[in-house]
Order: sequence, then structure tokens, then C-alpha cells
Amino acid sequence: MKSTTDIADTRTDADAFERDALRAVAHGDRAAFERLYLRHHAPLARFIARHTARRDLIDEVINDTFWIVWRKAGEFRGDSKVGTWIIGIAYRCMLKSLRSHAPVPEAADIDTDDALPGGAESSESETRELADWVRRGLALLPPEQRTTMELAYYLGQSCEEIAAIMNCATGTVKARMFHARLRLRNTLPALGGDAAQAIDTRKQPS
Amino acid sequence: MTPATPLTHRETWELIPWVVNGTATPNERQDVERHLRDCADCRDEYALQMQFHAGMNAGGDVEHDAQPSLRRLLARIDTPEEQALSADAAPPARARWPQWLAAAVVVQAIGLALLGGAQLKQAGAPDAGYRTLTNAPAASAAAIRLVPSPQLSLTELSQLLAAQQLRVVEANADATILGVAPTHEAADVDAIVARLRATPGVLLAEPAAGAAHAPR
Repeated sequence: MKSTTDIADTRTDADAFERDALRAVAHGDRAAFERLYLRHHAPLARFIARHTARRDLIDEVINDTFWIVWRKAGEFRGDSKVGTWIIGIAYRCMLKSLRSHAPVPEAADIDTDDALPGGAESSESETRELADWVRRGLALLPPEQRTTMELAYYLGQSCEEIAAIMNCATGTVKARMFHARLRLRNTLPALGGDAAQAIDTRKQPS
Repeated sequence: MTPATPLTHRETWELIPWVVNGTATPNERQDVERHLRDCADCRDEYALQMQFHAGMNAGGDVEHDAQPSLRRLLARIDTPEEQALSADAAPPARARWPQWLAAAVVVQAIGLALLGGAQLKQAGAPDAGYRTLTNAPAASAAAIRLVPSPQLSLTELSQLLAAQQLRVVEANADATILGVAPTHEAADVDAIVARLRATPGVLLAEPAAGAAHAPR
């Protein structure tokens, strides 16, 4: 694992790069816009894919997000990281899109098997099992708790950043994270798998 | 938080996710690590959260070629603003009126306009004999309104008008109120009015320009 200083430096460098890019986008720089788009496309696609299996919807949400980025780049106030600002836009676009479309199975139900064909190495099999175990656990959570965990563990957002993205207080984020972990701890062993065996029945913190 | 005040289980529990995802501050991370050295329960929770973190970032990758989507977005950006706005503002197809209905509305509007015009024309006819206080007065040739004394004879009136170079252009029904005008255009109406007022046998003399309309 990287040291805290390394991670912080990486995040700072990344944000400085993205701030420069966004300033250029505000002046109509297409190349900077394409760099930002390609940089965020994969993580956003995977984040959205946790909520819908429809590739067309995933593309629609991402493009609606960057349509707003293109038009509103000059209005970015710098109160947050550029990445957090973009994720916040994507989160709202996703909610709007999902509200207007019927729910569909998660992409992971389909993609996991495609990503790891038969005959994979043992470590790959374990990785797949771990991912499947976590995915099934997350599916049991209320949407807000699940999204909080996804924003924290998948998109690497801080407590304050998640509060900004989800438009709530940091205390709410902490509470959602607390209850999500508690529920996962109580339900994951029942889902089986090697990873579940690592969880003992210790009580929650006092 | 100082090293002298070690974290409680609860505080450590709350900080663990942010240590796991790398967004905790250096001090928070140090405090959590210090607590973990002596707390098996929290070490277990830390290990579990590390597993969640690994599980969410492993497998199930959505291999998604960004280039086609990017090309579509760039094409959308290249669309003229007006088109994009009109497309955004366009109602759903099912809400659009059929063409025949739109045509019928246009025909109906033309018919109503013609009917309205005819009504106005009819309504305008009686206006010639009926005037309200708010109606603008009709233009009059009279420059001065003159009310001669009933004792003034016709000869005296004629002499009076001749002396001031005036002629009668209109009068009310019983000729008690006259509208008069100078016989030549360059005449000073105010001066004439002043002279008329000073003439015996004249009850009223006033400029009629603008508001002048001899009562009938």
C-alpha cells in the first residue's frame, strides 16, 4: 500500500492537473476536454454500471455529465476537487436517468463471468469470488448506504467529498457508513465463501 | 488529537474506512495505527474493510470503449446552440399536434380575424352621431367660439365679424353659439379673441383650436 503522503501527493497532483484542464475547457479547449473525459470515463462507467446493466444508459449518463462539464466549466468555483465536482454531476445525472427508466440488473451480474473466462488461475478465481461476495453484500444495503460505500471504496472519495456529492452533512455520511458496515458484517458470513470465514462474530465497537 | 488521548474503539471504527481509502489525514492515520497495535477487534475490522475495498476494486470490470461515446458527445457539442436548445425544449413526440389539427387552428384564426373586422366596421357606423366624453373631438374649421348677446341684431353681428375679419363656419342648432374663423390665415387668434371680449354684445369669446367643436 502507498504511504499516506504518497497518496496525498498523488491526489494533489491529479487535482492540479485537472484544474488546469478545466480552466482550458472553460476557454473552449477541446483537447483538454477530451483528456478529462477519457480520464473519468472508466471509473464513472464502472460506478454507474453498479446500478444499471444498460450500456446505453451508462453512456447517456456519462455524456450528460460531460455535456454539463463542457457548458459549466467556467462556473467551477474550486470549492472541491475537480474529480469530486464531476462525480457529483454524474451522481445527479445517474439518479435522474434511473428514475426515468425501469430498474435493470446490475452490470456485474453479466460482466464478471465475461471478464474472467474459464480456466483462470486460482488467484483470479479467488479475486472473482471476493468481488462476487462483496457485490452480493452491497446489494443488500439501502441505496444511500451502498452509494456511500461505493463512493468511498470505489471512487476513493473522502467523507467531506461524499457529503458534497450526495448533498448531505458529513455526520450523515459517517452514519451511513457505520450502518452499512454493520449490516455487511452481520449478513456477509451467511453469503458464504472464503472471505466470509474471515469474519468472526465479534461485537460492534463500544 | 494528541497522542496523549488515544482513540476509543468507536472513534477508530469511524476512521477506518477513510484510512483504508487513503483520504484520512496523516494524524488520523497515525492515531488509528496506534490503536490497532493494541486492539484485536479493530484490527479485525480494519482487515475486513481492506477486503471490502479490494473486493469492490476487483473483477467485474466494465470494459467500455470510451471513444465512440466521446465522438457522439463532441458531435452534440458541435450542434448549433439553437438546435440543441430546441431539441432539449421539444415536447415528447406524443404531445405534438397532428398537422391537420394545426392547419385547422390556422383556418379558424383567419376566420375569427375576418369576423372581428366586420364587427368593428359595423360598430363604427353609429359613432358619427354618438359621442362620449372620452371621444376625441372631430377636427373643426372654427378658430374661435363665439357667443353673441341675444340682443345683438344680425346686422350688428355681421358688422362685428367684418370688423374682426371673421366669418361664420359653423353654429349650433339655434345659432346661439357660433364657430368663427379668420378670413385670412395669418391672423392672430389670441388678439382677435381679446378684441372680441372687449366688444359690447359679446358674451363669450374663446379660442376653439384643438378642442373647438361647435355644439349642435
